[in-house]
Amino acid sequence: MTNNDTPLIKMAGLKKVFLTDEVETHALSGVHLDIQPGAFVTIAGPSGGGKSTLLSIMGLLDTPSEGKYELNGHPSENLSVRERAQLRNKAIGFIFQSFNLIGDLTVFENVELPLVYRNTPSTKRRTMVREALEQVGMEHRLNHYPSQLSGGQQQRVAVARALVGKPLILLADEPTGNLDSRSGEQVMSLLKGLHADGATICMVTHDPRYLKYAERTIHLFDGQIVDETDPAVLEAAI
Amino acid sequence: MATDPFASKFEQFMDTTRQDVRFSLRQMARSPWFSALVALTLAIGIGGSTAIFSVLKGIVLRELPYPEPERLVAVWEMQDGSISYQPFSGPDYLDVRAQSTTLQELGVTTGRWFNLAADGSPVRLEGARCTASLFRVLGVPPLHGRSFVEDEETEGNNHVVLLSHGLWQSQFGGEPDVVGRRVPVDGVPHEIVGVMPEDFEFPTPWGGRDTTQLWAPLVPPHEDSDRGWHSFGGVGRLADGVTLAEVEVELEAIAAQLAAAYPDTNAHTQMWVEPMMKRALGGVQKTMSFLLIVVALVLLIACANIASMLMARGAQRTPEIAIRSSVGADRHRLLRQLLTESLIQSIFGGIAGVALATWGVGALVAILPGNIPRVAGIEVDTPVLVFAALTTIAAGLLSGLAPALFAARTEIAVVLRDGLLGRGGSRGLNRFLGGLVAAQIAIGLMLVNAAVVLIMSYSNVVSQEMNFKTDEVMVAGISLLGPKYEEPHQRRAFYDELISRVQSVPGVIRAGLTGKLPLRGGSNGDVLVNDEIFDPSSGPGNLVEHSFIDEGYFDAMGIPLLAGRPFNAFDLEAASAAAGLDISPVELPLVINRTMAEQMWPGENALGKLVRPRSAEEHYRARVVGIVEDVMQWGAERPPLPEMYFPYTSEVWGPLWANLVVQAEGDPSPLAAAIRETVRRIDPQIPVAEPTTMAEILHQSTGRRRFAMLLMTLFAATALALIIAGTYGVMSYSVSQRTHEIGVRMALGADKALVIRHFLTRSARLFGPGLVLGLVGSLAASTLTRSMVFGVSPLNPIFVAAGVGAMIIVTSAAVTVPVLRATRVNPVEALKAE
Repeated sequence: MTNNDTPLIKMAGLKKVFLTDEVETHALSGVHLDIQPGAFVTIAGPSGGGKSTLLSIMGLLDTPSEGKYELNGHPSENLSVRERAQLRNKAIGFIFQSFNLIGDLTVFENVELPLVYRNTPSTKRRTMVREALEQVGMEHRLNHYPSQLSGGQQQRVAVARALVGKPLILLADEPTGNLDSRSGEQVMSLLKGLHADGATICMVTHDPRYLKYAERTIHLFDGQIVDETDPAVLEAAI
Repeated sequence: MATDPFASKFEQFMDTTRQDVRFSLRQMARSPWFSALVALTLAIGIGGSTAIFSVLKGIVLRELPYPEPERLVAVWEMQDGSISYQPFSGPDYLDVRAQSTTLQELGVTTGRWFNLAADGSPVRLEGARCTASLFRVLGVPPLHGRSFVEDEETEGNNHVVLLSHGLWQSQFGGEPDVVGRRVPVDGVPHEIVGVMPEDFEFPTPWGGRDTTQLWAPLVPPHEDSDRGWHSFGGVGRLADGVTLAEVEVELEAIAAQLAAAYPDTNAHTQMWVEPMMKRALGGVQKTMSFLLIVVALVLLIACANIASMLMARGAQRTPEIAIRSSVGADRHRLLRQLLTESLIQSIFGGIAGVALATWGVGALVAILPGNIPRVAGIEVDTPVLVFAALTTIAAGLLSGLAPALFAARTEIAVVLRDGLLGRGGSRGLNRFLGGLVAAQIAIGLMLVNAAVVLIMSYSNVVSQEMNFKTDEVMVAGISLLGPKYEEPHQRRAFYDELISRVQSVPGVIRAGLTGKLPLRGGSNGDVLVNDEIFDPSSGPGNLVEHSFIDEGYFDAMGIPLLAGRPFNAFDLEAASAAAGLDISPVELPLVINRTMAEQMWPGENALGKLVRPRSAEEHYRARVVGIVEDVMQWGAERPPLPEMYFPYTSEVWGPLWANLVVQAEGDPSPLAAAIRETVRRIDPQIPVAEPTTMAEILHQSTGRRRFAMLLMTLFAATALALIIAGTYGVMSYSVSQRTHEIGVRMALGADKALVIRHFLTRSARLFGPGLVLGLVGSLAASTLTRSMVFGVSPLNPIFVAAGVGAMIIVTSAAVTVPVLRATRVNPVEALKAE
């Protein structure tokens, strides 16, 4: 259960340095960021600005080189690999640009996956998967494989997979990047609906058309937050 | 309602396992060729291991089929503390049996031929004479009737026989009322007293396969004058709680007592025991264990091979692993899934392997040499299936663990962002793949080196100068047994008639007779030469092999005469006459072999020299009239021993059975029917053993070596095929991962030759350490193979170099296609892929 006064995401002085062949690349350089429960935040910025790195750390897929990161009040720095996986499973739902569905699994099995890793009983899994697929309008494609779906449909399935475990936050990394504009709009409408129902969403995008869906936009440049823009202003600028 | 936490956990485990299994099967179905290749590779390794294990289990690991088999021992005599398999003399056996308290029971046996005429047509059977006590030692009751009793160990009372189950079926139709029936055995009616069970194994103290079909009571010679004649294999059962050491202490005391009482024959005689199981194996354990190690190495190569394939494929599955990880699968869960996949694949390989092993066991039994014992127990039964199952699980884990560990270490964030594996694969992965190739090459080199050495050894054995003709000579065993042939002149009349008639058969060049054949063992004894005087207190004398032949034998067998002359009709007549005249000592003409001449009379002319037995009683005196070339007596691998040839008509040992030797113009096989018919016309009651050629006897005597060599070669060839496939796979992966790099290199001006050189250099970096490791491994393995080689060092530099050369050729062939593929990379396309 979350308290609206306590940030769901709390990052302080976050840095990330990649070391390759004695070359240091500073992907993040002292990021301070709080995201409250129920918020819809977009992270924008040019390629290489550190957007995806920030989202990876937020999603416990990566660890910061320096700084503090708390997820729903839990400090992340001392978590073991296993604890990170468990927390990721329960608290976070991922939506990727390239959908990242497993080709050898059906729609149902793809959506079911987070519940399997949570050891949810199979009868309960079935119900939850159906509900999630109904939410995204894909309940009629349960036994299809990803290759039998359009890009927009695949992304809706990916959204269902992100939703099915009822996570605290949905992390979307360029969710419309591989979609045509019509499908992109559909996915964004879906996310908007989810947010309206209370979901917390953090989305990375560099497409200004979709910034309007968020309540708050953070601009990252060279690993630092350089600006926070009001979406209404942005929309007017488009 | 409270739920049982254990039941709930189990349910969860089964649920997730079901999912993993379902996913694994689906993946296999989606990549049928890859799955088939993995299954085939595993089937080769698991099938080979299982087949060899089933042979090992049947021969070596299976208990002897007697109650409390660990209490059974073979009991031997020996001279001067030098361990040897000297049979018991009759009186010594009787004394030991009477005095021993550490042996609950002791029995003796000796193999011999019997002529059985169950339905009027005689057959020649392998059988044994044994004491009644021997069946008590074994503790196996007959299926029907009874075994022998002590009363039947006396002349006149011993006309009883026991039948093997096989003989009962083949000659008596399995009739239940066969017990009590009287049948002619060696021309004398014998009562059938019993039938042994189907699975009964008669002990073979001298090793080899049990082929006994008939048993008759042994009448142990009990005169003190018989103490010098050793012909009985002893089998004992330890008394309850007694150790081998305690038996040997007691036997030592009995032997010392006999030495004091009978110094002429027993002054140097001692006794020893060894577990019957060890004796029953007849030295085959080492060969089979060696082959099991070899096949385990092949399995290891197969696992390394599959690990390479799975790792290369695992690299393509990295995004999937990353996705699973992103939705909460921890490393343990990923490992479990990946290992389930490799286990499922392994199970398919295991099933195919068991099918292969079932076929392979049949093939192995078919090519097992005749002197390998206990083949009846070789089958794919429950213990073998358990072994196959364990091997399958081990292979699944072994081949799947490293790929799973690497896959579970996927850098999730990078993969999810880029959607594919970082170009070129991880360094750790590439290093590990390289290590697998190097390990395969190392093991391959060891196997190839061992195979080459065994092939050369076999070649050395069969290419030795045998000093007798092989392809043109046919031999056939004949036993002149029964009342009609009790007198020497009766036997001689038969043989004279036989030789005369056979020599007139069209196609026969010449014919002769011998009591024993080259390579087939025989009998021996100590002799004195020149003016040596018998002294029981002195050490053992000159041990010499004995043969009894007619005047045509050397010519018929093709054994070259070196000096003097062969026997003639006069020699045979004189020997025969002397036997009848009771002249003591009898002076016999004697032909000796080269080794005896050189050992007994180095630098002298042996012709005219005198030989007599090393015993107080001078049974004969013989004068050397001829010297012939050596022939090997005890198989094709033991060097020739000194040998004496006596005229068969002499009564030193009566030639109750003989081998007809026929030299033919070309292939002698068509003569078999004529030989049988000739014998039948002389006496229809005398059966003839299946005629065979000396080439076949040579073939049989090299059977064990050929068996080991064939399997070793087969496994080495299999290993090479697997290595080619594995190296090809790894290099293909390497090339595919470097397509972009090749494009860059070519864009920068590298031509095809440079690309080839680049990849060949990379290959050499993999192969070099493998070859070095293989050489070290071969050096270590040479301690194992040293006792298996013949006429060649296990580390012969030429063969080692040949092995290294073979490995270089094989691995070069494996990398050729991927490297050529690398040269066909279109730099424009490769750079677009970036």
